[in-house]
Amino acid sequence: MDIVIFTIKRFVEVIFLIVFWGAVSNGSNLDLKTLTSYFLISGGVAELIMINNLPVGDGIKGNVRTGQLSNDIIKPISIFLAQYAAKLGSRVLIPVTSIIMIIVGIILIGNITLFGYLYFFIALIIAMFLSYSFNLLLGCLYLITTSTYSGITSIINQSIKFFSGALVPIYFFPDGLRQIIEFLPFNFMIYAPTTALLEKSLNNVIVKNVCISLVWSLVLLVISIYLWKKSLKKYEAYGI
Amino acid sequence: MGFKDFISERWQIIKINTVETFMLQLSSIFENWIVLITSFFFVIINILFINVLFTNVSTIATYTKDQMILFSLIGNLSFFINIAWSADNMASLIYGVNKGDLDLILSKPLPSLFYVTFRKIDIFLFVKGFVPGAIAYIVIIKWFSLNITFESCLAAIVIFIAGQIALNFFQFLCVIPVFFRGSAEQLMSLSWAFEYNLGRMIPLEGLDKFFRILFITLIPVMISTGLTTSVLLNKSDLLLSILFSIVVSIVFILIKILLWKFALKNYTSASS
Repeated sequence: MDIVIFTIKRFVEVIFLIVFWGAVSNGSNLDLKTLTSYFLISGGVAELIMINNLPVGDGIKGNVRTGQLSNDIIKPISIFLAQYAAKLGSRVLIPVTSIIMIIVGIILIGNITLFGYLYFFIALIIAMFLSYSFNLLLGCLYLITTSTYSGITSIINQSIKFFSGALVPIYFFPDGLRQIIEFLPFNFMIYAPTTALLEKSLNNVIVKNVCISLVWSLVLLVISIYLWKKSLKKYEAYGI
Repeated sequence: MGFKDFISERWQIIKINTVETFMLQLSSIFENWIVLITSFFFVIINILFINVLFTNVSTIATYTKDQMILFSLIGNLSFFINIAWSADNMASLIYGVNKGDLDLILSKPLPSLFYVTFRKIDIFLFVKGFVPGAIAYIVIIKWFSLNITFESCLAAIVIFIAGQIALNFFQFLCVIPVFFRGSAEQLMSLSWAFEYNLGRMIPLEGLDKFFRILFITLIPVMISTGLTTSVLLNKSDLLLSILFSIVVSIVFILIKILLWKFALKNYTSASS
């Protein structure tokens, strides 16, 4: 039952975002159909790569609070991967609804080339690595601070939502700000995979974007794994 | 019990719980700074978001940029007031039912529903969470461009209070299943999804008539945000809105009392 409610909740969030953009586009020259497909696909991508609310990193907070982490540390398992698996299990319906949302979005766009699908797939995999790193970095923060206040997740989540195109498509931003955002890793988590579907053939911009996103995913992965190991060593458990 | 004792007992509960929560909050210095920083950051992102939108459109659901920022400010006010007196208490009720904490409350000579509703009154959270961001909002809004009158201000205050009562009822409604099936966390988080993604993002005028009525009656997440802003800006009928909000909040209080009695009848204690 809880899984169903969780899924409804996520669905409701995307619907309201579309309603909001409906209000924004009403009376302007913005195309609601394009915006709807954008938010359906971006909403699906955000859940598929587990970047929305950073559930894995946030789960570490819960384990720090309950002391479960102290038990897990002594087990011969990778704590973070175990947390990842636990979250996947508790969100079993989410990938299904995410894929449905993406398919509906694709149908709304129509006329997508094979190259578009291929580029979407590549961008999605890179986005997954980026999301993994961000979840890991959030987990590090909770380990270091042993704070249980959700505000830490909230501040990172808000930044990601805003700069990744989950709230506003990046092409809405003023030119100067847009050019900066296009180089940030947030851009490659949601906006890049979502708009990848619109591409028809390989060009210089795509090559540049793939290169930048690969560099970001590698750099962030190395940094986050290094910090995770460091923070585990520094983690001070409370309790017996 | 006379009316004076009735009021006095409830006043004592509010006073003691407010002081206790305040003392508790003061003890976590690190958390306090984090709340302040995150809330302020959230406001900055919100203002940036509205600015980005208005580089592409001139109005959203008839709201100008300053009106949207005002709507966002009221949404923030509603959020922090709700957190300060309602949401945490409802979450505590879920915990109380599951861990036997509610047994302790029921065994005391207290008005139990009133006590669980006002168990924590976190004024400090409201101050550190809302005030810094509110200053940013107040500085940015061009007030002279808004059509706000003394009457609309008064009406908005009344509607906002009624909206908070309604929001508390909605959260209570989401929590009640804990008495029957042992969990309600996801329903509670669903109520947040409504409040956060609808109440704080979409102005009342952005919805068609059916949904406007739905979200100020059956799912009353827009009274303390959308309707309040609409009345404050003189976009809705003041008297009708006040009357409606008061009636709705009274009905919700009565239903809440009935639901509480029904839930307690079905309550099986978690402790021995």
